Amino acid sequence: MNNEIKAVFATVMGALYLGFGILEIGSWIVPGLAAMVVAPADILGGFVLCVIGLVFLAGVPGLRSGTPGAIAFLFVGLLLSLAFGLVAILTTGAGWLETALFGDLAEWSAAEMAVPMLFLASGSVAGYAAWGREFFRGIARA
Amino acid sequence: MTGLPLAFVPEGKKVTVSEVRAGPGMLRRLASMGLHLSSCVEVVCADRGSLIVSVTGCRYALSRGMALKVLVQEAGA
Amino acid sequence: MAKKITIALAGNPNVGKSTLFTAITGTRQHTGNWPGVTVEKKSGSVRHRDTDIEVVDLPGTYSLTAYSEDEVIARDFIIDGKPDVVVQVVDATSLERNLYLTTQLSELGVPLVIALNMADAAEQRGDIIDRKKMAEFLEIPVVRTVGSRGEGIGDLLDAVIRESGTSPHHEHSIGYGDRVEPVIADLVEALRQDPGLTSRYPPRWLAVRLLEGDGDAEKKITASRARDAVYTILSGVDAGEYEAMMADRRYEVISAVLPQVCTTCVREMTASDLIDRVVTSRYLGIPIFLALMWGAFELTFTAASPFMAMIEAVQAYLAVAATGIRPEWLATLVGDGLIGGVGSVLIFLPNIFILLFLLAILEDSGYLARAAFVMDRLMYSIGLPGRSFIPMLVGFGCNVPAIMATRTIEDRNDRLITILINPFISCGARLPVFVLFAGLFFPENPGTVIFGLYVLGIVVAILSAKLFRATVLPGKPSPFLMEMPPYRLPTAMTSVRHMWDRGSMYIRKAGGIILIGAIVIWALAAYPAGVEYGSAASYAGMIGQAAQPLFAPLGFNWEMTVSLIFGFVAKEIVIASLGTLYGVGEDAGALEGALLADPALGCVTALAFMVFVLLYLPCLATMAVIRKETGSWKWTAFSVIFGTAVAYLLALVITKAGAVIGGV
Repeated sequence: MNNEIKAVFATVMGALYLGFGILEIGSWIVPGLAAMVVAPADILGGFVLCVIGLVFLAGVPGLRSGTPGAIAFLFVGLLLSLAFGLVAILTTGAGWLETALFGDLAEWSAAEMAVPMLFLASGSVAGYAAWGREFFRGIARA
Repeated sequence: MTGLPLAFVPEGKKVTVSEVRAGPGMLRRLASMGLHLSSCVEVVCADRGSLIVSVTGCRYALSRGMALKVLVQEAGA
Repeated sequence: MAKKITIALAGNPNVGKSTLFTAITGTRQHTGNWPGVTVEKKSGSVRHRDTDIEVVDLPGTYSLTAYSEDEVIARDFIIDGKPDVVVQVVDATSLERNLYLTTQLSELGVPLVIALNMADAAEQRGDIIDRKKMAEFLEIPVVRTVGSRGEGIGDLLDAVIRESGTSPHHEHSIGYGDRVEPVIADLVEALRQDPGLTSRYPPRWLAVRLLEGDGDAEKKITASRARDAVYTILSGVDAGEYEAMMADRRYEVISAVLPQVCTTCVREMTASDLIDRVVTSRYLGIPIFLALMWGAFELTFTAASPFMAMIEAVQAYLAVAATGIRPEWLATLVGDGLIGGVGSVLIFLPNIFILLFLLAILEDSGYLARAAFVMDRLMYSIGLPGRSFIPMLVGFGCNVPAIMATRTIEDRNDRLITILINPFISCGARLPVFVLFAGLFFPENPGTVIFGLYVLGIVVAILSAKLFRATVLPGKPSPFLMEMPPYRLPTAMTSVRHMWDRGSMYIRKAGGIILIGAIVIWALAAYPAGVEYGSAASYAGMIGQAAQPLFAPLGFNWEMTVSLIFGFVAKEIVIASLGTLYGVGEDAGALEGALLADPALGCVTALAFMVFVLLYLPCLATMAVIRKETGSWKWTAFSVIFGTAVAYLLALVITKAGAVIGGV
């Protein structure tokens, strides 16, 4: 059923975000931990990933039992995920811009973009496409 | 007959205001927002006393201290 | 022959009044000041069908009592300024509450037009509002508008012009019932004994206000000969009780009118509410907020970086070009003084504007109100109201708009404390000092050091707040009560405008105070005539050497001392001054080299210096704003002395501790 799919989606996204987040934070203590999974050792960024993961996971019990309000956790999770994906794009973009203008472009590699905060958000793009409009009817323009 | 402080009302409950224990300035401010005697209030979010309520269709957030000053009764009482 | 009229825009906060104002006036608007107070006055003009219309945007208010400065300004303008028409901007999605203000506005006896704004949101929600019926009941024309899309403006202005022609206008007022009306009648009769009074203020309105115990109304009659008669009547009456009765009566009228005029208006749980359950939840609320703050700051620093580099490049280019100017003193004035001094301010434009833009998005979407609510508990334990929170956030960009943002805090002590601790929050201007020194003296982890400085600023702000509460400004913070507007998708235009309102203060600072300051500093460094620019023999050098003994315990040399003194003008100038005094002009690279080579400077001294810059007196622009907002020299002086004392103390502690640890 629809709710089952949402529950599974939330569980998977939640686990992924939380997992990467813990690894990124853990790199502070055990260097190289995060590098194993193509993630930077970024304690604050890791914290953010954990928060997103927890938001997703917080909705899972409610989604599975069909509680009406639980869907909000999924959507806030999606929103945050997309928002921070955007942050990741903009920050690497700015880095690219600066290198292009003032530095040596050859030094910059696309690998800079492969940050969990970015690639995990792709899952949310799918999620938003599937469920986004349904939820956000009724939010007017400022 | 006074009632229960708004701070103790659970999420989803609808109540009516029976008394407001506040100074004149605060009373005025509350009145202009729709919170006055016998107005209908619904609790939207509640967390250890601090609340978001719905009054005349608008949402307001109150800290615990504020919510303790507003006494309410069951809607329809 | 063109007619000229003046209209005022009134309304609740969060109804899209500013957007509507912009839709009406376009770019023909300017900001000034309401006389005698600190609130800014926005006015603009538009020409419609041969009529020149001057539009004044009044502060958003829920009612017209004398509870806050905003409300007094709004009603004083309507009474004394005598606009031809008042347009009340009403949020179609929260009609009931908005109508409360309508009942009070209609008592003022001025022609009224209602702009039923955000009509698109109401329609989308499924609300059906019968505008004709509403206009009939209220005896006020009702025009449908959608400010964000510019819809309905023409109709609105047509109605305005029509109403301005009708005169004289009778006050439509609510009947307050058999107990209250006789007292009002008595008061009106008493007031009529003073024709001077009744020609200025509608007598019924004045009577109603006096009956409610309105302090401002009482002030208005103290000089009147009708005063004694009025007091006699009032003494027999319990103001609190009457006020409650009258408020109830207003709502009775509104609830009688509303169902006939509007259907399916109140929605049960909305998407907004569900989001709130998540965002204000006990465990997730603060982490979500912190995550968003991280995102905002991360974006601010990284996205601003390429733009800052661009501005720097332009500045360097101009500085080189300036060396070709003759006569030579003009060359140094323009190159070192103007370009160097003002340039060091402008470099931070991207930084500040991006932060303000992101904050504007968060605010316009409605989230920031939730954040204030979530943080309220924490703020309360520091002794501050939740409302103080947004000004503190803005302070990370620039302290000037942050202190102006404290206007929404009603309690005087709450507001004062928020203003006084704001300078401790590290604004954009202090960043170059941190970046330079942290980068040089803590090459392993400059980011951590800078982060630590930011945290230190916050910690000092918190401790100061507690200190002030315990001593000079006792009391408990006001209990938190704030409207949570429904979540909305912020439009780029509104957020940009919002950002510009705040950020432009920073630019004005650059153009004004700092320009003058930069010239003065240049003069001090260049004279007496013939000395080497920025050397020990110049006036600047002499000042530095005279003041240096004060700073000897901190290990600062005279160049640093003078830079700190110049930093009084604007903290950005500290770096520019250092550059001048070390004799390296604009080349930052050379400055770095010179600093490293200086034997007086080590890690400890660098740290002490950074802490000092973080905490010592607010810059001149901030001081000016503090003076304006508090209206008192005493508090301004206090903030200067307190800040410098704290800075000195902490820098001293660091220096001594560093010496004990062995001096790195």
